[in-house]
Amino acid sequence: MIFVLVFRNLFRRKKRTLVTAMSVALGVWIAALAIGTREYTYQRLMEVSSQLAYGNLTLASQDFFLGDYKNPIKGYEALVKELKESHPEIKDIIPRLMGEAYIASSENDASVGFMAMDPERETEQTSIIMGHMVEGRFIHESLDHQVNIGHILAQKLMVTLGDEIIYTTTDFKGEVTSYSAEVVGIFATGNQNTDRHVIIFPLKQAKEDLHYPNDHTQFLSLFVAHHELTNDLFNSLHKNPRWPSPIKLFHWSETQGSLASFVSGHRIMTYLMIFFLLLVISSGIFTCTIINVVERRKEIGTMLALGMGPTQIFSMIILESLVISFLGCGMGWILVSPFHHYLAHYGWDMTPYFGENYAAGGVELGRYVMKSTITWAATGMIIASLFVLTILAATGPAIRAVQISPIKAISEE
Amino acid sequence: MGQHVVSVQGVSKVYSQDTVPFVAVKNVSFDVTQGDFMALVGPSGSGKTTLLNMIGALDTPTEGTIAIAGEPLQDKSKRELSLIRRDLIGFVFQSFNLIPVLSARENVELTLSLQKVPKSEKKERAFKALEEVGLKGMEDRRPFQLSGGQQQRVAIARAIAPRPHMILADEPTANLDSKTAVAILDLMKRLSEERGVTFLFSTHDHRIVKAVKRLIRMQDGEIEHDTKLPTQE
Repeated sequence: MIFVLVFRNLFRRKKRTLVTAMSVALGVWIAALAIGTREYTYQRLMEVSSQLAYGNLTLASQDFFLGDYKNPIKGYEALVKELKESHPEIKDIIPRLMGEAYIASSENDASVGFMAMDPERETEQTSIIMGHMVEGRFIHESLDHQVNIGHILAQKLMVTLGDEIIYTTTDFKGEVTSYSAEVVGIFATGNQNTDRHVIIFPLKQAKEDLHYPNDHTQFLSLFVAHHELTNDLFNSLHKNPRWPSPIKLFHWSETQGSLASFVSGHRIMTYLMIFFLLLVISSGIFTCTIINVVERRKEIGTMLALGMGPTQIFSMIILESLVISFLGCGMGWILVSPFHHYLAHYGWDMTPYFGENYAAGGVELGRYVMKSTITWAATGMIIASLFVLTILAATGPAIRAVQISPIKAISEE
Repeated sequence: MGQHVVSVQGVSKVYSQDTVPFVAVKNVSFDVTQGDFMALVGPSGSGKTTLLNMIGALDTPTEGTIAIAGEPLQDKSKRELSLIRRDLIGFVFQSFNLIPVLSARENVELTLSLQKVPKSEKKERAFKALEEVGLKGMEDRRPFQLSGGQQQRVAIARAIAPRPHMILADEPTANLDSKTAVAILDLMKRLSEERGVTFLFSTHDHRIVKAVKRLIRMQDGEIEHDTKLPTQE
C-alpha cells in the first residue's frame, strides 16, 4: 500500500514531479558526459605518455630517473620471457636505451635526446612515433646507421630523406663517440617536444655504437592492454619481484609525475564539480519533497492517527524522493546515451578551440578529438552519489512529516 | 455488564498558554463498556475533544491514567501508541479525512494494510465493510467522486474494517446535511446494535444526543453528568 501511495502522490502533481525529475536528468547528463569526456582525456594523455618512452610500467635501475645510466638490466631476454609467461596480462615488454646526443647536418646542429628501439618488437601501441611517420619508414634492423627524426628537427637541420647526420654522444664506458647515420624516416607526432628534440635509432645499431653488451638494456617498458589494468599488474609484480637489485619497478605515475599530478588534481576538481552539481539537484529534490509534505499535512496527520507508524511515514517520504531520483536518473541516462554514443564513436574535434597542439599535464596530444568513455565505476559513482544525496535531502522533510501533530493536522481544512 | 473497553481514571490535561496554565480537562473518571453507544457533549471549550484525543492515544494526559482494552497508555512510545491506535481504535472525523489519491476500497484497505492483513483477506474485508455501509458498487470511486455522506460512509467502513475495540467519532455529522446526517447516525446505530461496535462521540448534534444510550455532559473540563438514557427511536 505504501508503494501505491508513493506513486499516486507523485502523479498527483505531475508537473512538479516531472520538472524535478528533469532537473535530475539534466544533472546526470552533465555529470556523465563531464566524467566520460574527462576520463577519456586522462586515458588518452596516459596512453600517449606511455607511448613516448616508458610504457605503463618501467623496469630500470633504481637511480635511472636520477640520471644514473650505469646499471643496466643484464640478461633482459630471460626476464622478458619469464615475465610474459607468469603475467599474461602484459601485452608487450620493450627494451630501450636512451641518452643525450649532439647532432649536426651540413646546414645546422642541435642538442637532442635519442632513443634506441627494437623495430622488431615495437608496435603503434608501444611507440607513438611508429604510427606517425610522415616521410620514409620506421627504423629497421637490417639497415646500417639509420635514424628517424622529427619533422621540426628536420626543418631546423634542413635535412630530408637520405641525408646524413653526425651524432655525438657518450658510450657505455663513458667515452665520447661519434657516428654518421642516414635519415630514413621523418615523423610528426603532434607532440612538439618529441618532434623537435627526439631522434630514434635501431637498438642493435645503438648497442654496437655505444659498446653496450648485447644482453644488456637500460630499461624495459611494460605495456598492458588497457591503462586501467596498470595498478593490478604493478601490485602483482611488486608482490613477487623477479629481478635483482638495484633494478626497480616504476609505476607510470612515478615516471610521468607531472601528468600524474595533473590527472589527480584535475580529477578531484571534476568530481568536486559533480558533487556540487548533485548538491544543487538534491536541493531541488528537497524543495519538491518539503512542498509535498506541507501540502499533505492533513493526510499525513490522518495516517498517523489511523496507526501508521513514524517509520512508515518516514519511509514513504524517502521513497517518494528516491522514485523521483530514479525517474530522473533513468531519463538522464536516456539523454546521455546518444551523446555518449556519438562522442565515443566519432568524437568532437576540439582543434578550433585548442589549436593544433593541445597539451595537458606536460603531454601534448596534437590535434585533439574529444571522445567519451563512461566506465561502470563512474556510472555507479554517479548513481550512488545521487541516491545518497537524495536520501539526505529528503531526510529533513521526512522528519518534518513524522513530527506532524495528528491532532492539529486532522482538524485542518 | 460487558468488559471495560476504556477506563479513564483521574485524567487532567493542562496546557501552558504564555506561561499561564489552562486546564482543559479536570480530574475526569469514567469507564466505557463493550457495545456502548455514547456521547460526550458540552459547549465549545468544555474539554470533550481534548478528552476524545487522549482516549484516542493522540494526546497524553497531564495527570491520571487511560487504559484501552486493559492496555494503559502512559509511558508508551510514539510507535507503541501508533500500534494501539492501529489495532484497538477506529476514527471517524468531522471532515471525513479520506486519502484523496486512494479509492474507497483502498482507503478501507489502508488500515488493514497497517495491520498486515493478507492481501486476499484485506480485499474481502474491505468489500464487506463497504457493503455494510451501503456503498456496494462504489468501491473504485475516488473521494472526489463521492458525496459528503458517501465519504463519511467510507470513513466509517475504514474505521470498522480493522475490527477495533471502539470507534471514536468527533462531530461525525457536522459537515453533513440533515438528511445525510440522520442516515449516517442510523448506520452507526445499526453497527452498534448488530455488531456490538462501541461508539464514543464528541458532538453538539442534538440528533446524536437523542440517539445515544449514554451521555456524558462536560462543563469547564469536568464531567457534569454521566447519564444512561433510554433508547429513543
